[in-house]
Amino acid sequence: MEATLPFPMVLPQPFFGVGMLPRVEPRATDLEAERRLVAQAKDGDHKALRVLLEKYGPILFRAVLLPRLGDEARARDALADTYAKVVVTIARYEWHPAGIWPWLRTIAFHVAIDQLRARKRETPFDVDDLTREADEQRDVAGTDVAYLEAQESRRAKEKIHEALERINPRYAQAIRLRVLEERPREEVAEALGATPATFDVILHRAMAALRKALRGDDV
Amino acid sequence: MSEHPKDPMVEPLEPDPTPEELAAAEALREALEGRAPDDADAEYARALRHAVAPKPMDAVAHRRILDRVVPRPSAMRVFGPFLGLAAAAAVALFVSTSREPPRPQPVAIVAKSASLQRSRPTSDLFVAPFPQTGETSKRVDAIVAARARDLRGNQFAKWGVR
Repeated sequence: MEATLPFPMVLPQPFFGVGMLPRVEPRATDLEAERRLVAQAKDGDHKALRVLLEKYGPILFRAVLLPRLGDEARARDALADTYAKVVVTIARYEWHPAGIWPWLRTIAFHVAIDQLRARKRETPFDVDDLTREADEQRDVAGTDVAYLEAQESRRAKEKIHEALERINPRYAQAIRLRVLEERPREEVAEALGATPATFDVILHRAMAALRKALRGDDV
Repeated sequence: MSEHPKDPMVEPLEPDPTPEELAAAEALREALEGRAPDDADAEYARALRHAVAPKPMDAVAHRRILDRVVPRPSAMRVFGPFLGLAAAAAVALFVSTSREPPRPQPVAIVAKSASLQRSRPTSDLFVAPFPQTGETSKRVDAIVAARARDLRGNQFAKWGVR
């Protein structure tokens, strides 16, 4: 029998992007508790299933669906679809030592991919992006919700920040201040040394440039 | 846009914006300030914001989704048998009362129906005669009110209301 640690072990992880993200090994007790819940849910215990979804659902929304779908209503719909698929397929789920999170996120990614396929308007993330992410981050696992949320949202943020680095710095600043930080138009115009009307055009051009960068086109 | 032209005191805008760019810039501004529906640019801008700084899900909305897809273990399991008995009792009561013969209509209601006001000529509506000339509107109003009173009385009589 494995020895149970009284506290989660924090292991250093190579730096890949925004900030150092220590990997938190899930405690054996947490995983065992989760395994029991999953077994009950597989047997049709809705209460057990609700406990699991109440824990991981908010992260699915905030760190997986909303950043990639870019719209709250669509992300909520996607979460509902994810839950519906979980209800239907939980009986066939085979317990994995990493916990249930990888399985849940895979379902959520596939739901998001289906939604993006049906979308007409361009979004910062496309189907290829999500397909790649769904495969690349399969090692994101554990029971610590803060860690999972940080890991899942990191990739989305990285993509946007990398694209901002590739466009004209003035354009990048316009987007960071007005769009990402939601500062007032006049304040941002002043920060950029432009009249508000001039700033409007700058922002429009900045958005066009960022779209090209996110598509992978030359900027 | 009259306020647009290049301001020599600040970094110039190169190249000069086209009319299409000016229109798009204006539309984006209006949408971001909530004064117009989102166009493609505004929608993209919001998507960027959600990617970098996503807000947590509203707890009530989450609960609603969960309740819709994964119903709570219902009280039916505990109270189900009792509810079933109550439902059966209600059905039995309904069936037994529906078999009773219909109550005869009270004679008073039939009698009331016989006292309905019949249509009268205008001259019978009032005690005092109207002036022969002038006050047309007043005369018409009085006739309308009297006829309405008769109608109301007949309706109440049919309903058995005193």
